[in-house]
Amino acid sequence: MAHGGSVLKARPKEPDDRLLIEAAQRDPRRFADLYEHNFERVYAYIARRVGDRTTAEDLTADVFHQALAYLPRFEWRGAPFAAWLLRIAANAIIDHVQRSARERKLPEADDPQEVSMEDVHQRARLFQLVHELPEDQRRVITMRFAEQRSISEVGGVLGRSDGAVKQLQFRALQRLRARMGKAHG
Amino acid sequence: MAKRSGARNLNEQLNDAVEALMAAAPPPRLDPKLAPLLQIAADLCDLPRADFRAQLKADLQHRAAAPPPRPVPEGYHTATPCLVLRDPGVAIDFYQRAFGATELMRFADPNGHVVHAEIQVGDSRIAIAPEAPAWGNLSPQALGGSAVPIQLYVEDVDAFAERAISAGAKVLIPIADQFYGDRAGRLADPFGHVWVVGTHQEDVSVDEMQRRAEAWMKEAGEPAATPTESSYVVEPCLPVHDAPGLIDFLKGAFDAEEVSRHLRPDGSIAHAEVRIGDSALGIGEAVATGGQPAPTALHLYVPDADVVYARALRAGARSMQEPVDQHYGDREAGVRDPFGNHWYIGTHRREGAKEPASTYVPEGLHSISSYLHPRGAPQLIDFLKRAFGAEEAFRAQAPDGSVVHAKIRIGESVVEMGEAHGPYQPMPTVYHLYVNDTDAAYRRAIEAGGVALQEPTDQPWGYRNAGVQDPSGNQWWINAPLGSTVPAVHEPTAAEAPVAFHSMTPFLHVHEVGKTIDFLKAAFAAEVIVFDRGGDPPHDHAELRIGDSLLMMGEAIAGYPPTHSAFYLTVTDVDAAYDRALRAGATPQQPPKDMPWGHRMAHVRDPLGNAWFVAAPHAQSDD
Repeated sequence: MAHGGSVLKARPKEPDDRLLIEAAQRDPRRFADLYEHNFERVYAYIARRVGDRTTAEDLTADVFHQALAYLPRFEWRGAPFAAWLLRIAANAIIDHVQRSARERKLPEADDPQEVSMEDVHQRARLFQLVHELPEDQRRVITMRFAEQRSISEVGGVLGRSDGAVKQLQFRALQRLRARMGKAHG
Repeated sequence: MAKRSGARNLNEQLNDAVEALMAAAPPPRLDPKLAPLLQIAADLCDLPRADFRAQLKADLQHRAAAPPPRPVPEGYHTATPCLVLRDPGVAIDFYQRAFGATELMRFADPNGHVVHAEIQVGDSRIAIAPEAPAWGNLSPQALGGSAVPIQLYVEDVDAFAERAISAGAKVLIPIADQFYGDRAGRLADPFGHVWVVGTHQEDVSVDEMQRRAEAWMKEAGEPAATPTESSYVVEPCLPVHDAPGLIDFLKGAFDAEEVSRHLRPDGSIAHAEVRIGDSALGIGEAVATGGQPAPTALHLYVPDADVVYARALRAGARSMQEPVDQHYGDREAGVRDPFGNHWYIGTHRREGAKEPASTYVPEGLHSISSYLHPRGAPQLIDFLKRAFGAEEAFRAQAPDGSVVHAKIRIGESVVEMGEAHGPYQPMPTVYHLYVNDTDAAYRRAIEAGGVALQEPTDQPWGYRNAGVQDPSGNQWWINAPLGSTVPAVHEPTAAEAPVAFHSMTPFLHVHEVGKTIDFLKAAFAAEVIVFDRGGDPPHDHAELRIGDSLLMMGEAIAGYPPTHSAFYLTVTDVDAAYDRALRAGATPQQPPKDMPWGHRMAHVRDPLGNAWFVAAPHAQSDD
């Protein structure tokens, strides 16, 4: 399984994992910091691999529950915390797939090796960037894509016309594209 | 607002493409400038919900704030008793009804068998485990009782006990005010576990407890004798070469009634019991005496000695003494049966009276007493006293000190004897001595100087027996029902536990029990627990064990026509079991085959027409 360590080192704003882990081991409530920094990565990895949103959410929750429970036993070995989380995620996916296959006689899904870590990190970055959009644009994007609502529904919530919503959608995607391009530098 | 057609076109186009993306439909034609934006949109389809993100964070914070697991978990004390039970589900049910217990948890294996359960009784936790001898978990039934009574303190012991008893608990010691300040008693549940239930009523200092205990014991007097020697029963045995013949003779001569018959695998009589009057005699093919018959002498009281004397002669006995009035009040005759046994046939009369006494058996005696002619009667009497707690009921001595006649009471029975003289020479006799505790009786007899013939052993006919020889060469076979040395596990009667069903044993009616047993032994390694004959009309009855299950069989007689059934027999090796069954005479119906439910199974028919499905889980079915 690829650690993706080299890709992570290229990111300037990466927090010092070691400090965060030690803080969380002393006080489990500090686990929230590790969660904030790694949620999108874990979710992006899982969402890429499993078919539906509900399963992706369930497995993401499992991963973080396990991570919290096992945190006292985690030993810092130089690899990023994300690598450990993604290993837990990969195992959770395998268990899920095997259970589903037994229950519903489905064929097993693709081999995990085929998911590219670079792809995962890029999408995680994209998800994080959504939070940095101007309010209106952010709301359109989250309602359209995370909640799968129609243009007119979004318009209803925001009190805007269909045309205005479509324009917000367009601008948001443009901005995200631009920000993503910068990140790649 | 003025619509700039170029910008609007792009918004619309992009949205159309996004709609198509969301509908998983093929994308419409798109301006190439928009392609990168659509790619972003595609990635955004997996955008996590903000709500979910926040909820999970809150959930994790909640868990993180929870205190770490305690070494002794919440709700547990240091010690928690674990009751071993054959059927945890039934037991939990019972404890809920009887004790008002609540079920805290149960954990079952993939087959649904409870592996561990916990209940709460009052404020205490009690664990429950299934019987698993391989893991050292034995039920009270397996152990013959409970080694760990559990003490329960309750608010109202009388109400608690009433509820428990109506649910099926049995009273071992009634609820009563005790000298130590509790009102308490002892109950047994239907599974053999013992509960000492009480309500604390009064704080009693240790000194006061001492005083009360002494007073209580003085009042109670000697503790009621635990039923030991006082309940011994002596049954003289007649080992012969032709047991059926002797039984027939006894029926003909003395109107004996056959009570039971236990057969050996070869069909010979291991032990049969006949009743004459109020006494029992044991009859069997001579084995314990080295294959030699052991004729003995018996004193038989009958309503009319003359009549019985004549009958005995007609039945094949030889006269030893014609009926004559004896000086001690009995009219007595003597015969020798075709098997060498001496019978002193007597009718008791009050001394000096011409009319028969109201009972033809003297007070304190039974229909039959064994009559011994030992050399050294005083020594034998002494041994019987020390070994079996015998009491001397009567002794008449000659001037030279020899015992002319003695009546020795052993428990409920009497053994008579007189010193050997003239034609009355020793006839070493075989006795069955029925006791409550084989091991204790055996030890005592050995300590009294008896010679060990056989150490206490559990026997397949439901008794634990041991053998001891006395100084005169008589054999005493000490018998007690299995499990009788500890309080028997209580099986609820219908009145106590209207809904408690405990086990089920299949019952076949067959024409030839013996032949069926032979087949089942050869085919399925059946073990014979019981095979006897009794009842009215007499018929064969057998109980077999196959693996860990029981099968009962009765001879098909009027009102009980032959039955046919089907059995599912689990084994370790289906192919081997199938071959064995065929060699024993079973008819093949279907050779071993892997079945869809995870078993490998074969089907044979036994000579009676019963179907036997012989099966085992096949290896691939284990995940």
